Amino acid sequence: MLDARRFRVLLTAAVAAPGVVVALTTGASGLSAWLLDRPLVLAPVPRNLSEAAGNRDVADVVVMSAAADLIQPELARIPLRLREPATLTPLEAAVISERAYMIRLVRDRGGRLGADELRTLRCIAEARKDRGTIAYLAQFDASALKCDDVRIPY
Amino acid sequence: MFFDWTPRAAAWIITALFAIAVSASIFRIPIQVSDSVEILEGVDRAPSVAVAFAQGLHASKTMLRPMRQVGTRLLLDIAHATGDRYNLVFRGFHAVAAALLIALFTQIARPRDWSGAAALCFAMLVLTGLHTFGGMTREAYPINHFLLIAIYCLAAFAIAESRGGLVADVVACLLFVIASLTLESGLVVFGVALAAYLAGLRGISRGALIAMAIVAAGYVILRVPLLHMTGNVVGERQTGYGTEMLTTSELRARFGDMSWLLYGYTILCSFLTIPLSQPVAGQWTAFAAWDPQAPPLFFLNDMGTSLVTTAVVVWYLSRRRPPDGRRRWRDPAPLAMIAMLLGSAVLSYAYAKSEIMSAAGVFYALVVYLAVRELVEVLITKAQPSLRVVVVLAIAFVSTAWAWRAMGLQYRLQRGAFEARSEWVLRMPPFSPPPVQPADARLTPRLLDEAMHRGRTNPFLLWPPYARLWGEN
Repeated sequence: MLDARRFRVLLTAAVAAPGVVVALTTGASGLSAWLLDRPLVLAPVPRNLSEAAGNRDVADVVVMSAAADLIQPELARIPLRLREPATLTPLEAAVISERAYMIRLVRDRGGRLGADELRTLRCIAEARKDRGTIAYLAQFDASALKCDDVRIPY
Repeated sequence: MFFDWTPRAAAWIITALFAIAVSASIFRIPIQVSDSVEILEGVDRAPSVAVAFAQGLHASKTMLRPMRQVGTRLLLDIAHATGDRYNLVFRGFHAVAAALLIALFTQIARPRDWSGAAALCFAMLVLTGLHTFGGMTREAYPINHFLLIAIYCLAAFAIAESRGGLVADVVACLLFVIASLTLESGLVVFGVALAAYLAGLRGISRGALIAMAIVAAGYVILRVPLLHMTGNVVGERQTGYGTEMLTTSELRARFGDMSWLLYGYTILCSFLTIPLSQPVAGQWTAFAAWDPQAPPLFFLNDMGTSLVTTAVVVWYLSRRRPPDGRRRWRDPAPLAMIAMLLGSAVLSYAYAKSEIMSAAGVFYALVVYLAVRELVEVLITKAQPSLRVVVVLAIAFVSTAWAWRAMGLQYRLQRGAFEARSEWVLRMPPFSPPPVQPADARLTPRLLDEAMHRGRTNPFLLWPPYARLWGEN
């Protein structure tokens, strides 16, 4: 049983402590954001173009594509779609994002969409059963699809 | 001692940390395309502040908001004078305003002892964790006027608490004029002043209240006989009804002949959204069919914390004040909260919107502060020894649940930055028609460039259940 003095201290702490934790955590994060433009919590950023494309980050795709290779596969975290990070080209990551606008953007910024790449992308879209990206890619090639010998990169 | 660690100092440190956190996240959000670019380009073409004000008088048949144009024009002038740094000026203004609101909140709360400082920590979680607070921070049009209205209301209350005098009266009247010409919601500043007076505060004199009443009458004359403005009618904007969000055509079809039913429902729901955290914009989202992507834990946390906190508020309001036995609900802050809730709810009769209730949410948090402070004092003296452990654990649980909601604001602000930045690609050619025709887009290229190079963040890189626990997919 708590004595009166300890109860007073613990009760006050129970009311205040969560607020203090939030204040310290978000306050430190805010200071970092003000000083370094880099919040410490809840603000992750893509490490590469594939990660940006896989996570619907159209703005980062635009910014990064000015200086990055749009054909190079890179290790990408896409937590909404993949349990583990995978090595993907930006176009593959765009298909995995299940957003047709992202495929279009990566293409517009210089992503190569040859016959082999297109087949791989179509197979990824089929594997994910995403109707939006399947329909978008069918604009380029609507022929029957064989995916037996295509390696799905995740 | 190097630092005098008093409750008052601790309260201000906590306040500063919350202010830094919220303002920093707001500052990182780029100016949006929607609701901003068109306004900025339009106001920038006005040759002067006076012309911008005049344009604002005739901008709409239902909305009298000329101070929006004035504020935008003044900030644009500052931006031009500082090398066209639009985001720095507009987002800097928004961030400073949010910090000012948080500081004013503590200034009015004035915790003097450790119970008060602890209650302030809790109240800060309620203030920033309420869903209506997000509406004051996440978006801007390109200035967030709902945030300004909340500041005007708090400032009016602070003046009412002051010693008063001619300057206080003039400033209070000016606040009312500016607020009422900024948004229709600004009329509640008069409600705050009146409630404070009725509760016994004399910082705003009776003469000033009469002057405000005359200004309110002038406002009506300006709106109706002079500018021939009308109120909102059914179907002008979408709003929630039951568990649905109805489109404008659905609203007209369903309520065209009995608008009173929709108005009554919307007023009631707007009133309830603060104490219950439901419905949101008139829609009882928590009672819609469960979406497997949005587990009920989010709604349980939101509604559960609000129900418990509102129960404490009701308990507090029904208590008697020690000196004269008067019920607490007749005290200044509670009466102002009631005035704000009623006034804001009535003003949102035609469509429910969380932002309209946001200033009332600030006063709700203020009353939560008072209620929790009193609850702590009562529990310390009256809790049975056998129940003390349970009481501590229960309060820690509720406080932690509110902390989760307050962290949700940070998540939403980062997400707001991500979405605002993405808009600059997806709501521009080749994905969408431009918000302003290229020939008229004097500011747009610079705004686009600024948006691309600020506020980098991607909430989709977080562990997905985070978002769902904060009610987003």
